[in-house]
Amino acid sequence: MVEKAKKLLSEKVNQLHDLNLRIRIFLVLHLMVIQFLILFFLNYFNNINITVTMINSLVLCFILASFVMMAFRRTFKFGIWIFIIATVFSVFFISLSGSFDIKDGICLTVYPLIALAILVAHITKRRIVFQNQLYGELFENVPIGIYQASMVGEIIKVNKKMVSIFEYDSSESFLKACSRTEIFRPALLMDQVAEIIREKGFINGFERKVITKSGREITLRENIRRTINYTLSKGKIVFYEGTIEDISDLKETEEQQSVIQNDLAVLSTSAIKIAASESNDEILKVMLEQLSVILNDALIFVSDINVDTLISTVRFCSKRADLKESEIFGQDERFLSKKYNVPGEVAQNLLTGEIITLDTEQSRTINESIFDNNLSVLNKISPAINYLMSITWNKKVFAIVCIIMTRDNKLSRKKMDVIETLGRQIAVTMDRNGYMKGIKRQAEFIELLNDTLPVPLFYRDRDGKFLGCNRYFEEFTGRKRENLIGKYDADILFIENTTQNEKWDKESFQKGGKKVFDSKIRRADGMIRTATFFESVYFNASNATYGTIAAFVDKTEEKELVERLSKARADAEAVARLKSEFLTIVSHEMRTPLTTILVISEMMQKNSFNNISEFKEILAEATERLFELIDNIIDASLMQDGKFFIEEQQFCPQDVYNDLFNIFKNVAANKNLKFTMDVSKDFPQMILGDRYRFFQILKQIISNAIKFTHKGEVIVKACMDRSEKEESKIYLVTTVTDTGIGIPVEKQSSLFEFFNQADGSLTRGFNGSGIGLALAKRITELMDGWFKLYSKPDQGSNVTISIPFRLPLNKVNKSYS
Amino acid sequence: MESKKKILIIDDEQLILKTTALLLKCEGYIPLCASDGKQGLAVTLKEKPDMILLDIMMPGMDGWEVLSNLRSKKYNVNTPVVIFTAVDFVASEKMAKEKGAKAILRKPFQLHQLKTVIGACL
Repeated sequence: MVEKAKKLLSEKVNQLHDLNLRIRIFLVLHLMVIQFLILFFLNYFNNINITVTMINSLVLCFILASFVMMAFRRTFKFGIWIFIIATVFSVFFISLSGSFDIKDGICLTVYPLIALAILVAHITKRRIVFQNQLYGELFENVPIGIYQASMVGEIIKVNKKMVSIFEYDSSESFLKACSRTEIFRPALLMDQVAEIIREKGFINGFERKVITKSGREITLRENIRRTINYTLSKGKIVFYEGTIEDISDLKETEEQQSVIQNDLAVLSTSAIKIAASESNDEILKVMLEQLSVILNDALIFVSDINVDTLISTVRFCSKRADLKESEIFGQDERFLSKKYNVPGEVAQNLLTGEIITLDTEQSRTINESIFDNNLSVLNKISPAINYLMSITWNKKVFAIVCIIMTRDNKLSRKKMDVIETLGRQIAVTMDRNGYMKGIKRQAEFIELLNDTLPVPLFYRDRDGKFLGCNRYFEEFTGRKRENLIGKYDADILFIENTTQNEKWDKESFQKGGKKVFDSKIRRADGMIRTATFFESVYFNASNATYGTIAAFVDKTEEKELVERLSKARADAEAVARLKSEFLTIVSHEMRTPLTTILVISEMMQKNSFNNISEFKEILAEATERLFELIDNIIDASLMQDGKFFIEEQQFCPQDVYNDLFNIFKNVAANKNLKFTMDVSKDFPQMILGDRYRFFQILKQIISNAIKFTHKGEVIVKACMDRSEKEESKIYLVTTVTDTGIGIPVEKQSSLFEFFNQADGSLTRGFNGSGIGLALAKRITELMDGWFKLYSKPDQGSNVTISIPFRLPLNKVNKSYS
Repeated sequence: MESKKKILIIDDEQLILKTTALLLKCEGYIPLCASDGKQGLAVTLKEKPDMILLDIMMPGMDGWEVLSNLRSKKYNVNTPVVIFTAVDFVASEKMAKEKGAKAILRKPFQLHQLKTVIGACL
């Protein structure tokens, strides 16, 4: 019971808590009156003693305090409680005083309860009024349109916003208009909406278009709900309440956003297409295409511009469905390369790359010049607003875009932005394309240069890996560059495995030096060549040493030539030296017999000699020596000039040996030398050959032997060999052995090099007789024979010669018979 | 009447030896012949000639060597020496003076030249 009361009380108190100040003050005043009445009645009816009065006064203080507390919203609830408790306590104390009867009890309990009941009823009433007030304010002032409609769809009430959305002055005029016209027909009258409301009781976010008083079309978003009054007529639908919002702006923004998105999509597709385009013309076509998408109702010309004269030449133009090509371009004439003037006053601004709006006059001038006063076209596109924009970047103008809007609508700033962006994108790409083309040309130039250079050239990275080469290098190595790239030095070219590190010191390699060096390399045919390399370090984009470029020149032939030349020079010098030595020798050789001749002739003049025969002999020997010397010189000279000829006649070989023996037996005897000649008996009677030369050879050899033998003997042996192949051919083999001074081995070979007497000592050593022996050997060889010399110093020499002769035809048979 | 002077000729050329010997004989000297350096030195020691006619260009030991030997302590011979030369007269003349030769004769020499040289030496 108490719990229930307490709960009821706290419920009520909670309700009271929401009351505003006015209601609270009203309540407090009520309670004060009631309390006053209670106390008045108690004092009036009872003679209460002073103690009770004192306690009552105390309670009264509490009650007063509770009033104060109730005045404030924060302590209100607490104040109510204190008031109730204080009232109960006062009743309790009064009853304790003993002077309490039933009448008093009723007074004390019923009065406050009545007071509270009055209070609560009053509060509730006030609250409803207040809430209605509140709703009314809300209804009028909310920034969305609200209307109430009856079951049949008649508009009962509208708020200010709703009126203003429909551009009416007051709700009355709007309601009137609604009742007369269909200006606003509640959505709930629509079948579909009505059904949803019937099922769910509300519909949210229903959108539709309406026309306002001024005829403007706006978009509304509508929410509708049923309002049911539960208290008055249970469950009965009182009216429909709807809210409307004007979302035209929102819609417009959305549309714009979708346009922008569309434009962005165009821009991004054009970016892709531009990237795929190879030539600037293609890029311009892409732009035209994209502009046609963005501005579907405009005529667009893309033209070149001559910056000096400001004359544009149309290169590409867009098509429009409602303008036939022939209409624009004339019957049979292509429109392309049509010229038109850019107004001078806009030219300056044109270079910024921004869209310039031409005024009517300027537009008219351009249009007329483009369409040649073709009135049908001009009429169709008129009135037109022209826009000019240059495709420009980096102070270069690539093209002019002329946009003719064929309806009287302006380009929005957003569209302009899109077009300008596209233009800039195109310009940048075209500029870069030009730059790239320049780079490409440069690369082509370098490649051509590379291949034109008539020297093999190649380049490697820092590890010596081949990266590329020119045509001559391919020819030199006999390999294609694709097979060379990635290979290393030794695989391709170098024989000696040289690495960069060995060839370059670190510092100059990093700083980028140049180097010239020789190296042996392998040519395509496997030949080893010597080449001079010219190598330079090159760098990559990040300035790091990247590798080396090397060109080389095959110096092998040059080297060979130099060697040949230096040898030829040495030979020539040797010949010159030998010639002078020869002269020395010859003059020395001549001086001996000349001395004899001079001295003797002088003596003969004076007749100062007594043994004439002795003089005669000496004179004869001197003369002979001179004669022989001159003969030798002439022969040597003839041989050197290639005019030495071998003649052929019949002669008896035996006679030759006999003559020689007769000549030298006395000479040998004079020197106390034993001189023997052993000639084979089977010699043919006659043979064919050069008797004089044969005699000369043998005489020279024997004379030499005797000359350089101071004691001992000189032996001449002669025999005959027959040729196995040719019957008519025989070889006469003669060996001359002496016990003379001999010739050192190292001097033997040089002895026979014509006039090549290696040094003066040799000349001195043989007294010039080298000529004779060399001559003998040479003549032997010219006669198809061979000449051999075996000699040891101080032990003597052995000369063997073999000379072929032919047998006379009539003698052949005889010798065999 | 003073005794006949001995003159040694050292030359590998038989023809020169013969010619000079014959000539000296006619002039009243005793010619001595040697056909190489070794022989010449041997004859010098043995015969003690009053004068030596020395050829430069000889096989084995050449004239300069012979002269050096003669002037060396081993032989210690101060006999006047006349050099015969066939080549390079200027160089030989200089060499001859250095080595201590009395005179130099260039081949082919003439009778009067030889006589003048001999006259100067004896």
